[in-house]
Amino acid sequence: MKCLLCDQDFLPSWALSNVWTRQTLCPTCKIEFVKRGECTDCGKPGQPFCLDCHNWRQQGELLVTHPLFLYHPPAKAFMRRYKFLGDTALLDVFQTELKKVKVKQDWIVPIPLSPERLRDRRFNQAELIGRMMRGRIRLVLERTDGPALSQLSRQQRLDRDNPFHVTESVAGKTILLVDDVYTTGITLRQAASRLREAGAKEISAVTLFRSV
Amino acid sequence: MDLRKRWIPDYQLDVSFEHPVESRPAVTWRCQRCGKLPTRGPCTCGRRCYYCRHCLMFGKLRTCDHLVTDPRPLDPVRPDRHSELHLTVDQQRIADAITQTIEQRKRLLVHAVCGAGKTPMLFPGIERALCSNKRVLITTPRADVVRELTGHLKRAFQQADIVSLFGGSPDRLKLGEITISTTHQLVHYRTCFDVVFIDEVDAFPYQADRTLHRYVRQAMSPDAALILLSATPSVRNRLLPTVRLMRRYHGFPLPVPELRVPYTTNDVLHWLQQHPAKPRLVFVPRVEALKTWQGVLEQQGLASETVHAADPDRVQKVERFRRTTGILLTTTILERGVTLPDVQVAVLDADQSFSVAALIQISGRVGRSADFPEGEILFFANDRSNAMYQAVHQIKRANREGFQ
Repeated sequence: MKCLLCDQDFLPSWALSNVWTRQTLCPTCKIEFVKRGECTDCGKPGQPFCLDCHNWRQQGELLVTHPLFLYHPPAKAFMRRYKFLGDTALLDVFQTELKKVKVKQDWIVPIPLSPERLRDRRFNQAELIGRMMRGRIRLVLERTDGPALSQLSRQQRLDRDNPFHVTESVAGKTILLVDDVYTTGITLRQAASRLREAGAKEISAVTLFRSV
Repeated sequence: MDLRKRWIPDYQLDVSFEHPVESRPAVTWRCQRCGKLPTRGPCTCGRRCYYCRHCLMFGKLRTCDHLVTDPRPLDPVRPDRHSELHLTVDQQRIADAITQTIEQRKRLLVHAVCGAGKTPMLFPGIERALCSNKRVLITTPRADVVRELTGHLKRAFQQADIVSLFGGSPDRLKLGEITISTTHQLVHYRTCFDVVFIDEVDAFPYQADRTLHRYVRQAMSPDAALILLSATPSVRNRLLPTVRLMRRYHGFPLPVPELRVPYTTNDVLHWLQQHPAKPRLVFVPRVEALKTWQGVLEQQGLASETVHAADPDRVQKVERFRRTTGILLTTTILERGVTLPDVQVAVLDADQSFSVAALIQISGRVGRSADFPEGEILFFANDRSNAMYQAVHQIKRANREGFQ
């Protein structure tokens, strides 16, 4: 087998799980991702119910998010290569974890990119994550917005107007939102509120990483 | 931006670029920049889009991208003379062989021991090349060697346009009359160098990575002269026509490694305490061993510093070590390209994972300056490996050959 990172041939371990999973990284390149933390709403490590989520609940914005891993240095290196350098094949590292996500909702809805950003990058990283999961993917959201999120401060992010709008009817559907990194939760909650306005019944979210 | 003989992705091209450009698809059945096979990837272009995973660091290339260049020919090279040079008789012999190879556009391996003064031997050849309208490339796998060579050449050739290319250098994508480059940076260049020197051909990663060989071959013009320089050439490289120089420029023999088999920690400490006024370089086989040995030395009251490849301030640490007389614990990254006056070297666990070439190069760190031509090089080991004995044997043989 070929390792996705170092491109060297390696002998996969003789585990029985090789029948239904595929080893993508060789033992020397194996990335040690850290599992999600305790918070039931956002997976932040520390308390079982974190302060951020407490604030969100007081504002009446309820959204349960399941991050798979924490955004530690190995995860940051992964995201740099996957999202900013554009190595889309590297997402296979998460194949088994993403397949294991239980999707009981009707639709999977990835967070969209703005048209300008999509023209630069030419792929939507959240959509690829959503396509790896077992479920029906629908692109019902669109985005029209200004500056990149990663260049704004926390307060600026929270103040920003809602950039999303819904393009199809979602009335009565249960929806699973998908994004790559959960930082403040504002993006997912803005998308969720637009979907709720459009009549979606139940909304939850899955992200690959939870930043700490 | 001058793009002649260089191919870059169209999205990196300035909007203000006014010259006519020639373009070609960036990825066909293989990547047109690095030559590796591409991978299928999602893309908004709507076609079957492939991208190259091997040269991602230079910017992503997809099937729907194009590589562009400026088709005009290059300007002629301005002739330049090197500053005054004092070569020994042996060095002059090698320099003549290099000049002759350049004239005949052939290939040559220069097998010269560590500290033989390889750089000044290149100057007559470079001068001849510049005077006969040939573009010179000096390439090496190591970025620190590039920095050192740039300094040497800038001092020797005052008028020539010298460009130094390594990851993060300000000269990116420039083309000089003399270009000094890491092998990786040659990926953008096509058929523009008439004389190519490869320094440290056997160094990691050039020797193992075939794509780097391709980068160099693509950057050479079809009838270029190729000169390989090494102290420990591989068997394959030794098939080329070879000139040998087994004597250092200051005329003293190479220090022969002393074996200490078996050894205890106390032997190492005792040796380190023998030379309190000299810089001491200690090689260990693995990164994890750095921490343990640092702890052991600290218990004995010996302050030390550690360097390894992933160390962010490795350049500063080595610079600091140059000025002080301390102990530096290092992995094999310092095996080449460092010149420290009056340094004493020990290799711990020399039987483990050190190759013959690495041990010879490490031994070559000792006694490089003419003021301190002697020094101690010790191999501490608890077992005997072939590499240790071959290293000692080859160093002794080089000394015999140089002084017969």
